[in-house]
Amino acid sequence: MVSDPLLLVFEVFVFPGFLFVCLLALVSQWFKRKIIARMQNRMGPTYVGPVGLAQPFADALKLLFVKELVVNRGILWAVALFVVTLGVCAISASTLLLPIAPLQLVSPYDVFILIYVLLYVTFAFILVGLMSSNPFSATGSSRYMAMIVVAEPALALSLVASTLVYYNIMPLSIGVTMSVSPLSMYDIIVTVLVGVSLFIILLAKGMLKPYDIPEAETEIAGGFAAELSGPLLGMTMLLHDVEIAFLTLIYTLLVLKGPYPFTLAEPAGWVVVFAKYFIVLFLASVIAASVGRLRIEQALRHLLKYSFVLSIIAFVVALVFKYIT
Amino acid sequence: MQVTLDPFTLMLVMSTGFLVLTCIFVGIMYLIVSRKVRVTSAYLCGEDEKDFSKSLSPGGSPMYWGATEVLKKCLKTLRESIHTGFIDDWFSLMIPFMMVLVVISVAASIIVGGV
Repeated sequence: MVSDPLLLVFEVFVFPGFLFVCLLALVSQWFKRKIIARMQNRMGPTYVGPVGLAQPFADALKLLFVKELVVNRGILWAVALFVVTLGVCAISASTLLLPIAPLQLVSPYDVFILIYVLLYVTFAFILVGLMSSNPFSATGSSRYMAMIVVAEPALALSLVASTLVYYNIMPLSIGVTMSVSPLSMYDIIVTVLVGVSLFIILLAKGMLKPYDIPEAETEIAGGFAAELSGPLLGMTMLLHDVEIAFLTLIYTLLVLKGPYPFTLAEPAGWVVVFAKYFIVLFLASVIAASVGRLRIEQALRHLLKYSFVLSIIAFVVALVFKYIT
Repeated sequence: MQVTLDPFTLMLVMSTGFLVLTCIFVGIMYLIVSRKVRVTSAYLCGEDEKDFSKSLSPGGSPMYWGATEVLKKCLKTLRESIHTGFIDDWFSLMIPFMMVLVVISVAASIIVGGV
């Protein structure tokens, strides 16, 4: 059992749990907005804090402390707020599996625990749209549901494929896979395939262009977020940013091997982790600013061709390697 | 530092962690959110709510649609090759399919069960 429960509580609440994930998500939101603004010849956030760095914090606080709640007649407001908060907290708790945690928890087959916990976020986005009586919200949720039919299995297969490479150290452990360095020959081949697949999933699940179909503002008035306002909108935006930040962090640690060629015991290792994190976020933001939105059936075909098929190939290759070695 | 747990304990630790966290933050939100509430009708870009009341029926059908859309080509090929009206066409597709299933199940029993 865990020897230091207080450290575990600190991890869940502060680092790398709730507080750290929320801070990272809001800083990432600022970074993404700045990059996209620069690509569109705008300035992005500038008003609050140095170079507008505190703008996402100000937005979140403003939404949390609104003087008057504006609630749609048909929305299950309290339940929606609970579901969205549950999503943010589920991601916060799943950071215990990451090697950046001072006390990293690992177990055999923990990849399935991560997949299960991430499903809370998916269900939160679906439910928050379906809990409103607005047809735009229902349309947004419907589109999201259609996309996850392909994106969720691809995510699960990619994560399982990565863990299969280090099956001999610990069976299907995402925590161990993210901690192993240097790279093995087999790992490089599987990681390249998983890397492409996971990057597309990051764009799709993060609802970044060209996959921002469920919340298309100009088309369906914000989709599942059409009827949200005040604290509920603030928490939904936070969940959105937290999911992007967490998936980017997973990508950094799993595909780009986190602090490699250093370790997290050295300060240079942390610098490398954050440098890689912001490079991934930069690429995602550049793509989001450069391309137009796909139609839902185009997005499904894209996800199938470039993400799901690659994740199946990665899974088969990892399985073959497992039995060769 | 890495701590190895069994999967059930890890599941228990993580689930407890996020449920406690959720209860605390929902409690804090309940305390800080405004008590002044203004109830509004649905935002429909100026359209009347009555026009949309019957068209809304959210459910799981988009997931079925997504699956059929993704497998459209595959389903079309299957439909065209099986539903021809001739039993021979049905057999010529189903027998190789059954054989593939047998091969997969034998291979799986060898790999997993070590037969």
